[in-house]
Amino acid sequence: MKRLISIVSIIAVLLSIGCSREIDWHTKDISGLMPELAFTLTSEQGETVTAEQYRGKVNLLFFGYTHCPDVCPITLGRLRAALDQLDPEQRRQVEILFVSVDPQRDDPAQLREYTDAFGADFIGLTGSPEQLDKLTRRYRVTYGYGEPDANGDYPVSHSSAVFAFDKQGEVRLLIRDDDDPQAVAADLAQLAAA
Amino acid sequence: MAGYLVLHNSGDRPATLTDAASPAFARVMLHRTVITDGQAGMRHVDSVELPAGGELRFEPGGYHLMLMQRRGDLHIGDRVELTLRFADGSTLTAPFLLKAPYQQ
Repeated sequence: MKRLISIVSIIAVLLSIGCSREIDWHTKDISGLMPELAFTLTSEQGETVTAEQYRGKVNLLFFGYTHCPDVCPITLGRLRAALDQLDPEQRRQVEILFVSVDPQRDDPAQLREYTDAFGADFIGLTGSPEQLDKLTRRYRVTYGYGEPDANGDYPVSHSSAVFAFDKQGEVRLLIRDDDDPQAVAADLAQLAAA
Repeated sequence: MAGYLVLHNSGDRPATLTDAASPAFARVMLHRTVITDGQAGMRHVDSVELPAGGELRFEPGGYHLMLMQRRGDLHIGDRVELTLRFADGSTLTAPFLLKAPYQQ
């Protein structure tokens, strides 16, 4: 049995040498499958910003809303955990763009307070329904609002995925809610080095 | 904010969780996250059944207590009391530790 295991491991080593030219991603490689990052939105300082202003860094794009109790804080928390595994130089090269699809409740001040809780590298953005529709359609995701309850609270449905863009703004990876922070960190390190 | 917990029913009858409340929040609701084809949504649930001898987990991506309108400042490391109410009229109060979302 021991011999069989060693043969398997030799084959595995040969295989990995064979594909050493290909980058081995842990999350889903979607290079070329979606357009480059482009948007016009409002920043958490209340200024109009475009995607070009965030070029030069690895951008992670996530759609959510600040009243989201479960998926958004957990997703941003997992990204925080992934960033914490990078060295300071790599970390400086990554930014998280949290786009609120709930502009009615998420004004710049609310967004700033929310994203600051995760760290300075988390940037809150939102926009008009037209701007948000344009951006979500570009990445083939949707969002919607549930019925408000007696207190006026309403749930918002949104994509659970995170899109990763390289420093040139090209789409590279799709990070899903079951990807563990270690795998995400390894991929971010590769994107930061590129 | 969301509350996560694990409930064990050591009794020989099923229990039904119907409601929750906390002095630290104006409103607490039972919710369930549903992720379908990468689309995350949230459903309000009226009650959750806890089978006899069984376990019920409130965890990220599933059931959670939705904690709304906090009544005062809260800080990581604080303890918040939550009371769970069951269909038979019984209640269960327990302290919850406030954690950052990336602390497992």
